[in-house]
Amino acid sequence: MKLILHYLYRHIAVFLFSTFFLTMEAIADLLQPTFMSFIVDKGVANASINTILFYGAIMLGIAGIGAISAVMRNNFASRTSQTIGKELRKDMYHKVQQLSLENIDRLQPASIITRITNDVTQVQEFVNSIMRMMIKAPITCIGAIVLIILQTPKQAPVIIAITAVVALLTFGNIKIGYPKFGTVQKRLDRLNGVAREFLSSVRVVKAFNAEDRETQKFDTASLDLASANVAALRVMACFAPLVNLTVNFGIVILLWISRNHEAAHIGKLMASINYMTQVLFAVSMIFNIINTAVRAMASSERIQEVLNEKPAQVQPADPLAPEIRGDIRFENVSFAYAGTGKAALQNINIHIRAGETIGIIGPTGSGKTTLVNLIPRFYDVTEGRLLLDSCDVTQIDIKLIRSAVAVVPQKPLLFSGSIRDNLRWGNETADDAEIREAASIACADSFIRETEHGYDTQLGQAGVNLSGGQKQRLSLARALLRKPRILILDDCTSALDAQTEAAVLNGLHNMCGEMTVLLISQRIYTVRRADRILCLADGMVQGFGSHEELMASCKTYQAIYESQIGSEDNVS
Amino acid sequence: MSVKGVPPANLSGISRPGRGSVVVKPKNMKGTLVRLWMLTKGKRNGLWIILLLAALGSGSAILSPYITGKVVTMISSGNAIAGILLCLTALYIGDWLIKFLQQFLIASIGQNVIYYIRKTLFDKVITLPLAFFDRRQHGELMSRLTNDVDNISITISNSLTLLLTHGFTITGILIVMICLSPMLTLISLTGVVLIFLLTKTVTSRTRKLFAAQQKALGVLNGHIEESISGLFVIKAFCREEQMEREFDEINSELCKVATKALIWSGYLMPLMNVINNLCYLAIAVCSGIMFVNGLITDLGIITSFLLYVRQFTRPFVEIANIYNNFQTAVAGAERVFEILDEQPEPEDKPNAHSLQNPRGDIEMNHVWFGYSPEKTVLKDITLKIPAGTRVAIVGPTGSGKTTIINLLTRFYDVTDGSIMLDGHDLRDYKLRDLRDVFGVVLQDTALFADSVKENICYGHENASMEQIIEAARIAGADGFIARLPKEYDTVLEQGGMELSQGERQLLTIARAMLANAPIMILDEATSSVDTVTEQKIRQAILHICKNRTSFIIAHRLSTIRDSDLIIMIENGEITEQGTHDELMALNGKYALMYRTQIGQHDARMVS
Repeated sequence: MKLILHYLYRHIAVFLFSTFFLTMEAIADLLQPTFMSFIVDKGVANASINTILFYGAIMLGIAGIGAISAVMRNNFASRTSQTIGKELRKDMYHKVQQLSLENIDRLQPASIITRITNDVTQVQEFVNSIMRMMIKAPITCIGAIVLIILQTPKQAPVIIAITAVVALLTFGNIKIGYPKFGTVQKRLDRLNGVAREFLSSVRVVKAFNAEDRETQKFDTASLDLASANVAALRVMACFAPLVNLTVNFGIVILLWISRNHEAAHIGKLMASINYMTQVLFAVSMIFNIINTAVRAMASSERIQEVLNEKPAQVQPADPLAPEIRGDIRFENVSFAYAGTGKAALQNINIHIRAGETIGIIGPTGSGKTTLVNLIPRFYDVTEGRLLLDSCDVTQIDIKLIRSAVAVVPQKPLLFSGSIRDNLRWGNETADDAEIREAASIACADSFIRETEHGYDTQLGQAGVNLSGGQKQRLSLARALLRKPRILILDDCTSALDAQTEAAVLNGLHNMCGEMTVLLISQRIYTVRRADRILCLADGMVQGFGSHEELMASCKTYQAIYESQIGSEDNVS
Repeated sequence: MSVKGVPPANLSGISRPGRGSVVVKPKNMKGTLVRLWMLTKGKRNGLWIILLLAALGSGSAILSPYITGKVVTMISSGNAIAGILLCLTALYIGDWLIKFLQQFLIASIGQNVIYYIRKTLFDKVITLPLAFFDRRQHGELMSRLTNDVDNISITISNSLTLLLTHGFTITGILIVMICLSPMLTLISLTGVVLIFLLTKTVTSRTRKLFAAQQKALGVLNGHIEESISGLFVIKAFCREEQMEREFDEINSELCKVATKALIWSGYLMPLMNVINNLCYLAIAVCSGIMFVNGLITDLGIITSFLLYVRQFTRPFVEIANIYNNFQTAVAGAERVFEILDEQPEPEDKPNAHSLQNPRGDIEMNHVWFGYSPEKTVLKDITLKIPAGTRVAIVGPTGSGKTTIINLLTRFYDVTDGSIMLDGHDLRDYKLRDLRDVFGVVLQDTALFADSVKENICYGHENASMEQIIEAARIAGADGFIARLPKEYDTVLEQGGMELSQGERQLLTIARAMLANAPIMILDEATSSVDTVTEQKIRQAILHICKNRTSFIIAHRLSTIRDSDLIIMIENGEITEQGTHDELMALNGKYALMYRTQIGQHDARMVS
């Protein structure tokens, strides 16, 4: 709620305007029965057509004012709610862009997406309904009650009692209904999760004849959802009709109290009954709004969670801006992923000189990717220090580091847009010749030119229309175009066939020059041309040196060599 | 006068596709409804009670203003009103009971139907062939399973009851009004006509605007999805600001369109209110004049009319609205039926063979295949693989290696030619039996958000713990599993995303090991596993594959060197086949590829 108020406050002027017109509109509605009672009590009772026409004209005027107010209010309210929705999305998107990968891991990407899309829409609709009805309903309610009391003071206690009962029922509904709708939301998420999982694993499901199991899982999830929904809807079924009944009783009591009225005041009685129905309508509007409110509250909490998330890493207050040459020093570095407690890296002490090509090899899960991810500060060390050109990375301007480091991740991620647009991520200002050069080194130029539109070929979401190997090559070209000081290649040639991979590595070898290159691979032959090779296992350094040195001293490395090349010597 | 404009549906807690949505016109309304009716047969017990309640519910709306008017008349003429007030009270209590029962029943019946439709849909989906899933976006399928199904049931059941209530209310009120005063009824009807015209003008405008809004929203959602799943790369390339700029642009565009749509649609309610007020005013003035002129003798009639006029116009508005929602829901139902009409995986032939312990002879006779008619992927593949052969398939990316696997497991069926297993066409076997024959480790390491244990025994739920541990040990997954917080009971909350690619592969290999199938298929199964582990896995596989037919697809040629038969595929055609030594002797493409992988280290050894 605080969140919504905060955003409303930003548009306080428009909001007040809107409230003003809304009030006018409500008053216009409220005045109608009063003047109607004048028509009855003064016009009809005195048989004066002129009086009737006179009050009729006034009613017409009021209706006109009401109409203008309504149009104005609608204008303001629509603008405000949409603008708030836009701002919420913008702020969340901005926030997410600032968060570190650690935060994203915790919040989970899928959940963030629904928060920015669905949850914001919920809040936006709620804000709109606040400005449309939520304010009008109490005004109508209170206004009607006040007018009834003014016209027939005798009825005051009845009206107050009824209002109290309605308030109580509304409160009870919130109290009991709120948690139930929370459950519905959770079960819905679960159902979505099961469906998503099935769709992305459909090959495995079929290959293992596991259709029954998936059906069972889906069935349970949808049954759970249905029962949560029934429970929530039943709460509604209990409360909503009770509110109607209460107000209707009010009318009966009102009539009973007025049973001895003289004919002269019959107009007032009619007005009172009319007001009562207006109260009923307003109350039921409030009831409806509360339903939206319950959902909007849940949504705004989820939004707030994202906005409250503190970036795990922050830009240093007074960032250093050293000239980055590519000298990297790990001083006693340890690292554990948040929430695991298990160290992914332990006491790493290595020094990589600028311009060196370092091969990184080690068994699955030995911490290779974790190690290189520390350099561009995707994650921060848990213990120890990581120095880049003698400055602690946490002290350097994060933008500076990232513009000097290019990463080619294991899983190539491309974005909607043309191939050219994607490659230009590496360098906004690159001209066609530069783009083509980078693509050639990555062995991508030829297949790009074979496509119908060449470099202008549009890629779908995440580049779905390319093969894995092609995507890897584009991802590599994108990094090369950056001409970085430090190039990190995270097993990025795994989907290439041997020949293409060899060609890519050759091209890289020729262009790397003064670049510091960190080359992660599973394969000995990929890393052995490196100046030095870092061999990792279980997050610890097993050996760091040239191929020959490691062959002489590092057991892990020997075992890897054995598995790839040694055995082959045995065969041949 | 009770329950004005507060149809029970509004209180259902589930938003109806209200003003913010596009009205999608169904293609065949009647047919779809009939089908829906047939589909939910037996699942909607009690629906008739709800409909009956809906009809009864309108009674209160019709009668209460009349009775109230009577009371006013009696008060004005000084009669005792105790009796008639009791009637009114009874009417209200009856109304309460009806509303309560109606909502209470709708809650369970509606959800029951939703559950049933959803189940039917999923039961269908799971039988569909892979081609269906490859062709469609997952997001779209998801929204059919969730949103569309919800909409169908909620909207259609609510619309039905509302239409019924409103229909009765309108008719009832009209009759009472005509009886009371035809003249005043005419005035009320004028209001209705005005509202009709207004609604038509506004909706013709908003329809286009909402369509534009929907489109803008789609673009925005696409951008969000992409940029959040690709955040790693955005950060690596410092593209945060550009992305935000792009986002702002799309976001502003959406805001602009949506505001316009909202403003236009927002005019509807207040303007309707104005017409309502005008009607009210007209009735007040006219009835006043008529009373003065003696055309009406009863003040109660004025009271009743003033109450009726407020209630009379509203259902008309609602009906227009409901009808739009109804159409949208029916269109949703059509989308669901579209899936139900999809061709499932071909049923087993009536005399299909069951398959228990196949020898594993495989023969491909002039197999042609294309995922779409325009593009052939496999061209005239003919192969003879005797039982027990260890086959390796190599070739550049996109040459058709995985496609062969897709055909063997009958994820897809051949376009032309045939594949025989033990002398019978694959299509002559029972599909389930056939799939049990293959133990596959696929390129995509699909894991489920269950425990490690359940992931390993996936498809073989009754495996013992010993078997599971043994399978994990063979696959070389036991090491990292032992390091997980709860070992085999660790739940992979994020569907395995918390593991490394290599660890995921090991789990999927363990899964295939446990299946212990007669024919093994490994499609790039060890590409992300380190070579030491890979070596171990290969030993284990060799051990298991002894006397079994097996297929391995791999980039690392060292992995497949000792296969019995190596098949080189390029552009969907077999270009070379033979053992490693034969192919090396042939000195063709394979030899070249092999040397590239090995030659490099030779060069280094020399230098």
